[in-house]
Amino acid sequence: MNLFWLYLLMSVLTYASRRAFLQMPDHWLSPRMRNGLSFIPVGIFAALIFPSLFASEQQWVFQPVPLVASAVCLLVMAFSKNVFLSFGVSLGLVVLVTAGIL
Amino acid sequence: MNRTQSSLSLFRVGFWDALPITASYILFGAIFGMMALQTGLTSWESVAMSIFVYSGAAQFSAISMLADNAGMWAILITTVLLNTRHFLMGLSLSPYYQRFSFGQVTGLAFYMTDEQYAVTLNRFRHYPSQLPYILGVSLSLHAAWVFGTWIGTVAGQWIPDPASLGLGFSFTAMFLALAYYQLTSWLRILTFILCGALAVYLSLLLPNGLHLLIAGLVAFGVGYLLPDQKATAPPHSDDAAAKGVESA
Repeated sequence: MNLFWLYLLMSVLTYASRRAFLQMPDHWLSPRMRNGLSFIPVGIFAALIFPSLFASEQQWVFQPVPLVASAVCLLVMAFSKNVFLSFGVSLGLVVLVTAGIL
Repeated sequence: MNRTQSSLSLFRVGFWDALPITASYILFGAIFGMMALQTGLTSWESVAMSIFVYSGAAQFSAISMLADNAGMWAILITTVLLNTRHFLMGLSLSPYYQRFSFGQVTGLAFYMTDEQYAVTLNRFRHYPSQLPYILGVSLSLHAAWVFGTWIGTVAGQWIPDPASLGLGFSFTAMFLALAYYQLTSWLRILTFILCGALAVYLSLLLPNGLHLLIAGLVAFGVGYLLPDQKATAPPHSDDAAAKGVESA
């Protein structure tokens, strides 16, 4: 396989998908449309988070440690409003449990 | 001069905000580099893929398919499917990119990964979209991905398996922390849970990536059809720009 063409076409396809709707004409962005757009991150974040907790290799999985760590992450966010702290505490919890320290 | 300092300062804020993800990018880039080498790519071929394609999901799929002797068109179709989520992500960023020129948007589009999207979107909740900030996040993440890939090709045998250390949770942790700011009303929380459940179900059935597109479309439909008083609108004031980042 010619890697030059593979890389070129993969790059073009990836870039085109990113560029396509990144700057819509102003008149398309009605208040209702903006409200709809503001909800997209909610769906995208949900689709990034939930499958990583409940699915693996197209199988349903139950993973107590990441679930508890996720709850801890949200709790720390609720109290501290600090992304780095929430990230660090929840990831640290998973690492310590995985390493057998906790 | 002040403008230059301000731009530099915003660039630094972007760099620092992206730092936890930068570390993860180096590690996962290294895993990619190691796997690419095992597939038969040379060090430079692996690094070139990370420089020009710059899409973790597409790259991991591609080397896995290359190892299975898949054809070029199969790899390209998989790339398209994995990238469908970018259409919606770009659409949701569109209001924040209105202030940029065509050329700037065309350049920034290259860097729109899931993580760059998450970090910059969080910033836009309270601050206007600023080019230096976006560049600070984007360039550090891209550099980390390329550097990680190179590290993986030269020192792959010493790279620990992230799963065995529990580091696979790093992206989930960051997405969760950033998603928290999106959950500003009961409607949004319910949409989050609904889309999450739907995404889990679809991820068991559909090729990788499509569940993101469908979950994003469902969320858009909810937001479009049901008015939400707490919807986020892009801030138009530049006043907040110099205050620095809130938390990420």
